[in-house]
Amino acid sequence: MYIKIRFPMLLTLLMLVSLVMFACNKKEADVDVVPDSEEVQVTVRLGTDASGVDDKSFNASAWRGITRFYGDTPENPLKQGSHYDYIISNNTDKYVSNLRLMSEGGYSLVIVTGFTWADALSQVAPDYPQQKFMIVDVAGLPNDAKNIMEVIYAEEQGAFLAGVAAALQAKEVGAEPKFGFIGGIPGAVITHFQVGYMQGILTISPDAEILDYYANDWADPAKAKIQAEAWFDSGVYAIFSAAGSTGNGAIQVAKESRQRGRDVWAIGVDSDQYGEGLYEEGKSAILTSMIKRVDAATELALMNVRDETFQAEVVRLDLANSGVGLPENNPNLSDAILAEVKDYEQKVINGEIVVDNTVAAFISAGHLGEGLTILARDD
Amino acid sequence: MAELAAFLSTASYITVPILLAALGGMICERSGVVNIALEGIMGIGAFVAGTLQFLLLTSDTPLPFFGQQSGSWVLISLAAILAGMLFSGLLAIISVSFNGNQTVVGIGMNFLALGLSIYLSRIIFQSDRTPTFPLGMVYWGKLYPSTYIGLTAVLAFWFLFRFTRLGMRISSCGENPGAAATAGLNVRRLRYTAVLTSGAMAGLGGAYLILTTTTQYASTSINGQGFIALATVAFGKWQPFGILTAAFVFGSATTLSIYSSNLSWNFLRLLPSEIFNLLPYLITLLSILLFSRKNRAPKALGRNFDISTR
Repeated sequence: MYIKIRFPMLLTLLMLVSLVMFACNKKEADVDVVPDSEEVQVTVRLGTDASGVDDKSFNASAWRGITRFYGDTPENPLKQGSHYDYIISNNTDKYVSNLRLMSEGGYSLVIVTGFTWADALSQVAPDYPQQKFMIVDVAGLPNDAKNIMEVIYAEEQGAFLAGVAAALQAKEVGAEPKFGFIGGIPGAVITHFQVGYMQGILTISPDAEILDYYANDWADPAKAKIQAEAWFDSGVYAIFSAAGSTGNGAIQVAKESRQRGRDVWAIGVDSDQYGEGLYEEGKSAILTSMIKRVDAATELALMNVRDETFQAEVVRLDLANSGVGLPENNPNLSDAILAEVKDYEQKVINGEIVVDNTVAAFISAGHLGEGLTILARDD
Repeated sequence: MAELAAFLSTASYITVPILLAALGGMICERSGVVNIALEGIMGIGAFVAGTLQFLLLTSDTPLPFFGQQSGSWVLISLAAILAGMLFSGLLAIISVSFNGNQTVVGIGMNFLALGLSIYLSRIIFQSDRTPTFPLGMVYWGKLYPSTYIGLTAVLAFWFLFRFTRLGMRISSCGENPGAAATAGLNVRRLRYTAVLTSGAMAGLGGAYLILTTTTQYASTSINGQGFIALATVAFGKWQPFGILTAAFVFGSATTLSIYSSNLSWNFLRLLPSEIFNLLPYLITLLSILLFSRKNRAPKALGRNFDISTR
């Protein structure tokens, strides 16, 4: 048979050959990694939602705790692949199958982050009674096999302080007390954030106006961006988002707006996001961050597994045991504000102020004005 | 009034990526080649933009001529155009030179683009997505530069098909390639031109999508915008201004779906919020239903050119 060799055919061949060579290179590199077999190996797999471990907030914090346990950092995860790794589930349909995949890998521990995993975990965990699981943000799963450790947080306490700080800042500069909250997917945990934040603001400025929006997505920054633009245009002073990487859209708008000389702020969530807000040398659009130390939880679970003290228990982290709170350094807040925030922190810790964490409690405490509704849900 | 201006500014940057990709889809289809791969090509452009924006803005060597922050988009536009053209070369090679089925190739390319971008970002950044870049595109006045480019592109394509010989020749390849060949035109070469141009436009659209609406490239970034662009081509009746209108309908519907949640009308807030996510697609479908009476698709659309059948 006679084949006429033509330019397109050559090009295709070239593409194929280069692809194969590229792939081969990669394989050789993998062989260099020699797993060390000195001590008993604790291995772990982390399952995240679509935000991924570089969402700079919630999952990033979980990942930081895991890397720290192995003496690595997220920037330099040397033992990734051999000791620990993560799987991103781009949509909720993948949760069950990915969870089974991780459970069948023979790892010491499987961690999933976020309440959107609750159904998948309660479905899968009973099928693998020998596998240890840890879930963040969920308590009270059916746990007959005694193999799930659950960690929950008093997010409302940290969010309360963030709200107090934002309202004090607005008061200090004489801005109109108008604030925004952006949530990811509505649910009980995000309600903690919203309700605590609102109560914090209203404690300082009882007549403040607070807007809310849910993107129904943990990984769609465009939505938060459009919403934040509209809000800042209408005079909103600060926006707090608890929405995974969706919230990065709001931070982006705060940066752009501040760069154009407008006095508006974003409030970080889960990790200290000050660095994410840098728009010019030494200037950040992040007023402060509500820190939720998911890294403490993942590290604790790994230590329990290593020391063979793992228990199917519920661990609650709050302001008193530094599980939530504001960051150590807040360059954008004045000393006067920080001192006042500290006062409120003390009052929450010793029970003088009770922060609501459900919509029902928030309404019955009379915090919600006449005729107003919020999008948060208790279920 | 100020709210309207804000709305238009937002709607315009949501519109532009779809508009650019749709203009690309239009020239491709008018030459007789269906470009299902718009989604994938946008993804390639988006990946290039996400990668370069991060690298340029975090590197210490300043860009010549432009500052880092305000100028990076010019360089990224060129890179995205190039990447889009290279990737769309696959479609040209397989379906124009080798007469492969255009639809099948396009579908394959969409999956390839997704896999390729994740694979490359694993190699470059050890992560499934590019890192968050410090800043996206910087405003020129009230609008992003991408908006001006989008409008210029509409004018350019209108001029191309209205006044130039090249435009007429490309159209003739889509209407009746046999006749075009008989008249002495090189159908394959014209189709190559059209396919590569569509790659350039879709790559540019993907890049602007990343620079104006998000903060990083992830596999979920494009999320069907390429397919919306494909629908926009038909909705816009294969005409540049029709496509501008169609893309703007979708862009403003998207913006509206988010703005509507700001209205303090309680009955709106009682609706499940998923309704608002559905709104852009619903409005687009309804307007296609209402306004498209006559199908003006190129007659030889999707058919490979076979010299023996003319």
